[in-house]
Amino acid sequence: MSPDSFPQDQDELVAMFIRELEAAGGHGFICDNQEDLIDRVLELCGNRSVLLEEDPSTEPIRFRLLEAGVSAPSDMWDAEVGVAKVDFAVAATGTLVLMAGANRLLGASLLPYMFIALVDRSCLLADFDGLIRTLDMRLADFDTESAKPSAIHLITGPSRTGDVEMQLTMGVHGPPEVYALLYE
Amino acid sequence: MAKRSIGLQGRENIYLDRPIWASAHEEPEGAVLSDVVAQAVDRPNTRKVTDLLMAVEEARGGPAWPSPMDFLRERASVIRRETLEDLPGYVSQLADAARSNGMIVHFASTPGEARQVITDIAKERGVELVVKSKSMVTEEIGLTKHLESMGIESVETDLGEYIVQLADERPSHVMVPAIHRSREDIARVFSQLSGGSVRSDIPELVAFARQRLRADFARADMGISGVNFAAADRGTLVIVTNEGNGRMVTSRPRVHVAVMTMEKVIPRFSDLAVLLPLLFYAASRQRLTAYQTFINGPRRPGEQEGPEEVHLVILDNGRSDISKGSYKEVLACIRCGACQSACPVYRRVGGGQAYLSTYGGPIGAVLTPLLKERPGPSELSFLSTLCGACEEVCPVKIPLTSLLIGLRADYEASKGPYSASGLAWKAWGELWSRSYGYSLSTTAVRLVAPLMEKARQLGFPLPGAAGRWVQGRSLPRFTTRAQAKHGSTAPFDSAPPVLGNFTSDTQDDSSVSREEHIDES
Repeated sequence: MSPDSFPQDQDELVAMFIRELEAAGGHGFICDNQEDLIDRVLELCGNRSVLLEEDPSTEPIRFRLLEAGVSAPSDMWDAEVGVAKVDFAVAATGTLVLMAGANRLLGASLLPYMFIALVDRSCLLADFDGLIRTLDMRLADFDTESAKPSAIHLITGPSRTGDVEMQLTMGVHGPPEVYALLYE
Repeated sequence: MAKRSIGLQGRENIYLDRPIWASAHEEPEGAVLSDVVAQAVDRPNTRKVTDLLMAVEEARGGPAWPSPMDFLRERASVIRRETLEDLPGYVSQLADAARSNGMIVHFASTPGEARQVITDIAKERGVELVVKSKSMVTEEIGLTKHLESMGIESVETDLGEYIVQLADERPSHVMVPAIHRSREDIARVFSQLSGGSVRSDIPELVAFARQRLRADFARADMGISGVNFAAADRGTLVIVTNEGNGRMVTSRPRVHVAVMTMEKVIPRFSDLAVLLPLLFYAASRQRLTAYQTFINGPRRPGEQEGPEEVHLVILDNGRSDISKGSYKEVLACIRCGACQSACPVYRRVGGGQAYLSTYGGPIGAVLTPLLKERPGPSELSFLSTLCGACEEVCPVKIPLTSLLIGLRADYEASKGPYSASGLAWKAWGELWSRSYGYSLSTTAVRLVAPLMEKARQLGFPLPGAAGRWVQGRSLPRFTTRAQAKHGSTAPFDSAPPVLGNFTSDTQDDSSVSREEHIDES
C-alpha cells in the first residue's frame, strides 16, 4: 500500500476505483461522453421517482428526465433513486466523498433505495491517506467558519450490517444499491 | 399528545425473556457477579456466541500484525499516548475549534450532569422524539432511560441496538450488540412487536427494521450520536457506521447532540489517516466501513440540509483523574471491540452482559472500576485468565494484562490491610510489569487457578464461571528459586501457597530470567 505502488495513469486509477467499489458491493461504469452519462442515468432510473441535485451541471440530466416523464417526488423520503455529484473519489478504496454546500442535496446519497454518483474523473485521488490530506487542507483553508461545509460524507459501497448472527446483509438505512458513473 | 416512535410501537407486547441482570432498565444492584457469570455460562445462546466469536478469532489468523497494519499500529499507539500526555489541553483546543465551527459545547463532569444538559436541550427546544445512533457513553450515563422518564421517547437505530432496546437488554458486544440473539430470537421479538408474523430470514429482519425506523428518522426532532474521533485542530467530529444510521441522526432532525468522553479527542485531523483504517481493521477486518461522517457544525447559510444546532457534550466521569494516574493507558482505547472477541472468558460467558457493566470484556474490566461513577462492579478484573490475547489484538497496544493485575491488587487492598491475596496480586503485578512478564501469558491460566480456588475458600466474591473455567485443567506445580532458597516463608497464613512465594526480594531481582522463576515441570 505504499504510495509508489499506485498507478499514476488516470485510466489505471479509474480501473482500480471500479474494482474496489465492486469489491465493496457497488457498481462502477465508465461513460465516454456527456450523452453516454445521461443515457446511463436514465437507464438506471427507469420510471422511478428521482431526487436530483439542483446544479448547473446536472441540468441536462434533469431536462432529459423530465422529457422521459420521470417525476421528482414531492417528499424526498419517497424518492426511489438519488443522483448527485461527488467532490472526490478514492481509487484504492472505492470511496465516494460528498461535501455539504449550497445547491448540494446530500439526502440523494442516503434516503433513496439506489444512489447514482456522478464522478468527474479529475476528482479521483489515489488513496485514503491522500483524501485525508486533501480534506485537511480544505478545512484549514476556509477562513470563515460559515463557509466550512457543515458535513463531509465518505461512502464506500451500499449500506450494510452484520448485526444478525454476524452475517453480512446489504441495505439497512442507507441505499442497498450504489452506482458510480465516471465521466470526463 | 407527544409524538411517539413508530419503531418502538407495540413494544409492551414483547415478552422479556432476559434475566433481570441483563436488563437495560432494572438496576443490577444486588446481583452478585459470581452468580451472574454462572448463570450466563448456562444461558441457551451462550454456546452460539462462543462459537461465533471463536470463528472471528480463527479468521484473525494468529497474533501477528501484517504490514502495513503493524506500521499503523505503531503510529496509532504513539498518537494516542501523545494525546493522553495533555488530555485537558487537547480537549480545550477541541472545544474552542468546535465553538468557532458553530457548535455549542457543554462539559459534564458526571453522568448526572450530562443527562441534565441533554434533557435541558431537549426540553428547551420542545423535542418529543429522539433517534439515536450507537454510543457507549450514552449507555454509561443511562440516557435513554432518563429521557423516557421525562416522557421523551428515544429510539436506538443501529440494528443490533434496536433489537436489544426492544428486548430491554444491555448490548453484549461493542460492535455486535445483539450477538447473543439468534435470528429466530429476533424474529420472535419483531413478531411480538408488530403483532404479525416476521420470518427468521435475515434480509427480512433487516427490511423490517429499515421500514420501522425510517418513519422515526423522518419525524424525530433530535438526533443523538456518539463520536468516534474528534479532531482538536479542526473541530471536526467523526462518526462511523455501516448501516447509515449515523448519517441519518446527524442530518435529518433539527437538533443534533453528539456525546463523547474526553479521550475521544485526537490532536490532528490528519491522524485520521492512521486511526480510521486501523479501527476498521481491528474491529472487523474491513478496509473501510460503508460510512464515515465528518461533522463541522450546523447547517450553513445556503445549505438545504443539516441540523439547525449541533451540540457537543464532553463527559469526564473520572477520566481526567485516570489520565494522571498509572492506569492512564486504558484511555488510549478506540473502541474496536477486538479485545472482547479475543477474550476466552468473554466468549465463554456469552458476551458482555455478564459483566454487569456498560463496558464488558477486558477493556470494560479495566475501565469500569476506574470511572468515578462506576457503571458496573469493581471486581471485574477477576473476569480474566490473564492470557494476554487482548493485548495482542489491541490496535493501540494497551497493556491490559498489567492493568488487570494492578486492579486486582487495588481491589483486594480495598478489602483492608490484611488482605493476603491483595498483596500477592501486587507482587504478581510487579512481576508482570517486567519485560518478560508478557511472555508468561501462556502459563497464566495455571497461575490463576489455585489463586481463584484459594480466594474462593477465603470468601472473596470471585466469579463462579471463571473458577469453573480453570477447573479440570491440569495445573503443573509452580515454584520459584526463592522458594528453594528461603523455603516456603509465606508472609501470611492465609495467603494462597503459590503466591506466597512472590516475596519482595524475588521481585526486585530483575536479572532473574523467566525460567529461573517458574519451574513448569
